[in-house]
Amino acid sequence: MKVIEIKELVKKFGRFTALDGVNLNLDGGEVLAFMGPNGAGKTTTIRALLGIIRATSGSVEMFGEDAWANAVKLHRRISFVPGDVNLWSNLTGGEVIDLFMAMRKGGKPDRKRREEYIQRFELDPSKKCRTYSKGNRQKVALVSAFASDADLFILDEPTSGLDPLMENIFHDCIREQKKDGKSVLLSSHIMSEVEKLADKIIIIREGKIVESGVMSEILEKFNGRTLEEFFLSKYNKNGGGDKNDAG
Amino acid sequence: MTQVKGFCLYSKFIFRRERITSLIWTMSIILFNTVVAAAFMQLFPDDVSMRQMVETLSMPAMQAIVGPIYGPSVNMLYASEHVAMVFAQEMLVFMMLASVIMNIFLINRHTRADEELGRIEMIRSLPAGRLTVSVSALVFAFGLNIFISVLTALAMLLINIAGTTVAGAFIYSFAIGAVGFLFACITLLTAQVFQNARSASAWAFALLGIFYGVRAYADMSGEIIFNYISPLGLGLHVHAFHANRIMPLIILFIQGLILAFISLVICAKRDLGEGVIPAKKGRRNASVFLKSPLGLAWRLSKGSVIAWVITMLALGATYGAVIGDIGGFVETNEMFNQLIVGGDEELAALLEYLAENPEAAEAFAEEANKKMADNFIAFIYLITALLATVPVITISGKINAEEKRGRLEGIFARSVSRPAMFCSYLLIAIVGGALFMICGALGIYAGTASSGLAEAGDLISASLTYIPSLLVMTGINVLLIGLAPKIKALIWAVFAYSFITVYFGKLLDLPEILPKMTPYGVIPQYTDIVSRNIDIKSIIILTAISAVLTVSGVLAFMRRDIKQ
Repeated sequence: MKVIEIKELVKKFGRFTALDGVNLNLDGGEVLAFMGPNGAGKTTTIRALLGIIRATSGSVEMFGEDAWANAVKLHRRISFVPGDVNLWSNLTGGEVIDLFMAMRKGGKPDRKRREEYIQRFELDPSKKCRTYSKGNRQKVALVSAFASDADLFILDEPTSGLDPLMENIFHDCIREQKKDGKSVLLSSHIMSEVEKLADKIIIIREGKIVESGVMSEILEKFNGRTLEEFFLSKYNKNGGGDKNDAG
Repeated sequence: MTQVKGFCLYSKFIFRRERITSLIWTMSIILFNTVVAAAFMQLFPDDVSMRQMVETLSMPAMQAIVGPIYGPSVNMLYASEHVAMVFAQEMLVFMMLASVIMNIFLINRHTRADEELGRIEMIRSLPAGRLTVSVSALVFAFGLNIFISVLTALAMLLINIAGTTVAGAFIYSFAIGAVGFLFACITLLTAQVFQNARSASAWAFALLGIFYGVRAYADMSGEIIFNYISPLGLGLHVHAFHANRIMPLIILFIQGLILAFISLVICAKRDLGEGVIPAKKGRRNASVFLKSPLGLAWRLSKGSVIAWVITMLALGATYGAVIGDIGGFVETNEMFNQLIVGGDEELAALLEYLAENPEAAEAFAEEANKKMADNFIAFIYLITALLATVPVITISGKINAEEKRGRLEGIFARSVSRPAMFCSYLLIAIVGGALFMICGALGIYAGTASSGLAEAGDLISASLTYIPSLLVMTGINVLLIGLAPKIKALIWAVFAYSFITVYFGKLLDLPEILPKMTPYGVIPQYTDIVSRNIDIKSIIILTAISAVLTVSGVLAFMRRDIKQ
């Protein structure tokens, strides 16, 4: 069964077409890098996956169920980290983590895991959220995501604001989850990160998927050119690559 | 049920977030109501004084402000039986306003504001239903309104002013809660309709203003039908401590449920982050004016300047409208008497003479009335000046607010000098202050136009004499921001001192020196201007002081670190 299966997804905001027939698949135990220029539709796709915006047409499924209709049930199995985490300024990081974990489980959160990830990310959970820097707010979201037992991680530029040390720890966490058979949808702009973590890559531009394929095959095909050059050729309107290159 | 999955947990969370804010609101509302009720007991030592008060309240201009007068005819009122009723007639509308404001902020804070900040996105990525947040917020508001209503009722029963009944106390208190909850539902709806928190709350407040206006018209003109359109009018029609009608409360509750239902249906269907009405497209390019420090400062202050202009016009007009009836107020209300006549020996003597020699009334009544009106206008100017100080302080201090949010760095990283930016805010604050005072004067003029008790020239010059007071307050603010931004809040202590000594000085019989120590106490008053007895010295001294304060403040600001 596919973990994520998006077919011909179209999303219109008024006259503006944000997504124009997006197809995206994620199999179990895979890390899929979701890439594309700013405003291409990455976040819109993710919001459709989360069932917080409704598809104009097409289908969006996770674990074989409709993402909008069964959102609440599906969200028990996923963890989401946004790129810009905004927290409640008069609550502490620890309180926010507990809230998120409790809302997932509906019962007692796993204290051991929570402590483990707080340690790993070197987060001080007793500070009020208003005093956190961007990186620390990001850590709050990451800790609550990893500390809960999810089957699918949806991460929207999760490392923005993190220092390189913390980025490495984040990469370790992803690898561990993958080893446990968990799946990851990772939206990112960081080439090295994608190169390290992703099994597959999918590129969106102006609401359309322009490239998708297995990482190793892409690297093979573009032998001699860096991943960055490959991306730039796909991002660029004029130099857009041939769709059959790697698909 | 999946739509509200996580309701209990999220409700607990709202409780946690609200434990301070809502507690302060609750305590303030209950305390305010109780203190005023307790004061009412002392206000009417006898039947006569109460009957006079009700007569004052019965004037159309007063009914427009406080609401309908009901109960037995005036000469059937007894201080031993009806104090609670008169209290409800005067206070209920204000308590409703306080409750409504609390509810608008509460619901907006938890719905559209959180959504705009991306917090609800995180909640919704968890196994939480589409309606969990809205329903939790609404249920919290409902509980809070009940809580406030019950406590208010118990407090009323506890102090037990004459004429208090159990039914009356509960009807009165639940009218406050019911109108509050209705506005919670109205705000829930505006939060669905508009895409940002500002519009959502602004429209809720606009509706509050419109509904207040509708009921003011209804109560003034006696066309009761309009009262049923306005939730405030409906709430006042419980006729607390008299008829004690429960029907208006039921109607308000049903209206609330209908609005809540519509809001939730929209909420369940719409995309997160979107509103029914899509956001307007903004300008593509900045206008030439915006591209300067002054332009930026104006753009950031525009909203508050406009809001205060309207407030001052309305305030002036409201006071102006009742000036014609000033004689009645002074006679019936001990408080007014002290305010208007207190300290004015000439007027006191004249009133005494009139009281003893009714046959002289013809000749002197007009003179006494004019004198009382002048004293009253002088007092209104003090209030206007104090109120106008609030936006002057916030606008002149805006540079510090911008600094705290880290937006000032980005400005000073460009080729903008510190004094240029600071003085831009100061210019807007000071010109704005003058504008607010003039608007107050125009409002009073409009209000007194029919009675002809004041001349436009005098009114305008009196409003302008307070500019040096505003300048001094600005100067103190600037000095604090430049020299000691950490204790910047001290300006509000200065303001509070001025407010208390100037506003309550006469009422509480404080020594005259206390108000004289504020920038407001030494300025020539309206009465001085009418009698052309203007002491220009104090104006010059205050202006000089303000110049020294401002210049040293700006200089200090140029030398200190910009905080992050």
